[in-house]
Amino acid sequence: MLSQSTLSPAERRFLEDGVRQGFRNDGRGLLDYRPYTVETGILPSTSGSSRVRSFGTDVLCAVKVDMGSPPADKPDEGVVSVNVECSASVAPHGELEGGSSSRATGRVGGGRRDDSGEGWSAYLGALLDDLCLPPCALDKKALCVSPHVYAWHVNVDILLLNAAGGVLDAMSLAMRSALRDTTLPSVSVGSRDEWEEEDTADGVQQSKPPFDVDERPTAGTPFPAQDIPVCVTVGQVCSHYVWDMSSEEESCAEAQVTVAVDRNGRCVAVHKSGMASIDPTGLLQVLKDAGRVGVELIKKLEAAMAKLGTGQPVVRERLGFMAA
Amino acid sequence: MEVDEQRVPEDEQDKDFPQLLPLVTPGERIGHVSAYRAGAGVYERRGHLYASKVGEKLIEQDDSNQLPVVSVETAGLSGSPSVPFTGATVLAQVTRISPRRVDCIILSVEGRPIRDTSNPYKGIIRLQDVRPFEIDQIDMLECFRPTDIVKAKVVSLGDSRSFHLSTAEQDLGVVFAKSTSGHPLVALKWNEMECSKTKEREPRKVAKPSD
Amino acid sequence: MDAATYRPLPPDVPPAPTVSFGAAERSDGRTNEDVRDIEMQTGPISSAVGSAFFQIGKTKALSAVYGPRQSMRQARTSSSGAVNIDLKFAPFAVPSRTSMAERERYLVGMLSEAFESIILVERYAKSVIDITCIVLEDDGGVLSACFNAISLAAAHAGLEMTDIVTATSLYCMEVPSDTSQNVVYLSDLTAAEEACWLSSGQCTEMHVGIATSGSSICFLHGTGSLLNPTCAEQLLGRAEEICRAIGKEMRACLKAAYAASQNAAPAKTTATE
Repeated sequence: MLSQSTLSPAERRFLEDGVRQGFRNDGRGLLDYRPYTVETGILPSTSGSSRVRSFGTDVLCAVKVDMGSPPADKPDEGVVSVNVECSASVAPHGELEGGSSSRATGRVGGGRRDDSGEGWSAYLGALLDDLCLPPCALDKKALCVSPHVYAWHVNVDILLLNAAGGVLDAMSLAMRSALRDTTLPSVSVGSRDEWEEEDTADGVQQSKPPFDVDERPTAGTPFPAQDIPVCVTVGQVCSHYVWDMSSEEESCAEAQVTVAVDRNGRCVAVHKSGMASIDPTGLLQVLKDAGRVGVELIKKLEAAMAKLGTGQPVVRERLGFMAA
Repeated sequence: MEVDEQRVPEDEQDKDFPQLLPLVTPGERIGHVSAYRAGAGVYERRGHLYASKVGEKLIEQDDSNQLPVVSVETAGLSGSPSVPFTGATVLAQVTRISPRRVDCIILSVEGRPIRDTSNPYKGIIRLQDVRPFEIDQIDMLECFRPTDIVKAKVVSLGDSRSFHLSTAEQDLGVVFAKSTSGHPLVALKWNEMECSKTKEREPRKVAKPSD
Repeated sequence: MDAATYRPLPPDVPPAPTVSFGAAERSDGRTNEDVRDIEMQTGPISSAVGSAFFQIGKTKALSAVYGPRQSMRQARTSSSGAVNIDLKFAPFAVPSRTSMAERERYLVGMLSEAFESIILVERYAKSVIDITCIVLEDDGGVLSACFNAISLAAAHAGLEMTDIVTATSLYCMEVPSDTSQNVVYLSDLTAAEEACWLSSGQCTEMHVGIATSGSSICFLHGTGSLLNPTCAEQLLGRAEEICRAIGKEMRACLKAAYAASQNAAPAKTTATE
């Protein structure tokens, strides 16, 4: 999707020949993932945060929860919004090219995203929301505090600091870790006779009960979705399927399929992007493998998170935010 | 538009519309690279040729020792939009004249008019592309005037603003112009045209009329 | 005082959506596999280079193609063209007057990704092609309807494409029956059915776009808990059937439109629709 490198024809042929024989430029097999570094709790002013890094791809995710009113058409649910921002370092000249850049700069774009990378980031946010927060993984009813009156508004902000292949994968990992790290403060809503008349901005009298928030992290409840699916992206290079592509491999890939997988290996979403069409039989094979690969990835993530400890901030010497 | 009943011979007719050649739509396989060469409106994938637009399948044999060319023809305005390409013959209208170049708007490509005129393709004719001889003695105002219709050839895709055009051949140059009195000019010589009403002569780089 | 106390009701209020099981029918009389009636037309907008209208059930989408024309952005110098897709919901398309900007953006992103693999942009050097799509009425299946409208408009405009591509939306969900949970496959939901099943998460949806000559998938987006290979295989197989049928109609429509523009009479007196 976001590939920045342009390859010469000789480099492309070298890469494709390698894939045909089952190995890649950095020595991995077609199904091997690169090691990821995941840190949580790095932004103390947020409710939950995480940072995922892997060989150049750098994603920062912050979760902030606010108390607000539930939406008018769904009064017993909370609101979760995913917002993606791509930093200027990702897009040279401030313009983001959507789609693989293997076909020179020919691309198909949305009308409004021609001028800036904003539309593309908004699309990524909506896609991530659709793939990784489907109703079967996240029950928004658990975010409601008092129907028709109060519900949690969860803002998930993802900042893409650097893109070097596997962006959707990294973003979904970051979102999963950040939401695991999030605790919802415990709230007690006042009873009916304590309601106060409140003048809202447009002069309409609206009565809302007062609420009490207990800010102590130990009193809070963990976020009600502990099994956010993780995206695994596979690319089709010369009719072979390559997992966890680097940015060079992404620019050679004709098509990409992203599958969202949960802890039990169940596929909960699938999305295809890229310049070429894919074969249905290949797709079914991808779905089978995706379950397996996703489960492995989540197991490793869980193991790493367990080592970090649950919810306690890790005290260690910090060299600086951007330091390795 | 009247269509001649026998424009298409019996053995080549489309079965649903006998006055047309066989109709094809994008994605239909129309040949193999061993039997045909790809023409306009055709793309090749894995050794087979497929149509890439809606139209009539036309097979042309121009040279006996080469494979016939298969292309998808779209006649008239319903045809596919035209984009200027290197080597195409275009008709352009002059908009601005400077000492070193002439700016123009491209009106038609290879005989097909440009359908979308909201943001037309621009072309420039540089001083060295006006004619092939005596380049240092060219006076632009003696070759072109604003609103002249010029037949030119696309030399290159140029820069982001305009294509590079050339009139450096005998049959390229001004094909239609209006005199200072507003009447059409008639070609006299390669460098002179005459007003049809007042008989005044005006200098232009004239295209040789085809016989 | 609630501002939205009045809203025009559809002339016939449909009964609550039901899924067809055994001999029973869906609320509008279809079986689970049936797709609603389709109507398509080329050339409704004469000022555009190519245009098309696509209707499935009550969902209507209108698409127009403008260009190729010189790119207005000075920074663009490339040997390949650019295609911009713009999608808008008409203000009267949905019952409640909410802002559809987010949904429009999301659909545009998906449609752009899909058409990247179809239009041969390298044949339109230095040019930009603008494709607009307006949804006139939303009764479910908007993404596939817009996809089909854009595909038909692009082919009508004579843009060079690899294939005629069509899309459809398929769904499956587990329905409790007498003995156990059974998986039911549904084609083409109306808006009422979507509201009933999709937002609660019971239903798995899959939107598929298929290149009709070769049956390869050019667009795929699916969410839901039933995306295991068995269900996916069923869904893809059914999608292929539906897309091929729509594609066949599209080809006939395009050929008839071309012949009409050449004033060529059809071979027989029976009209080809």
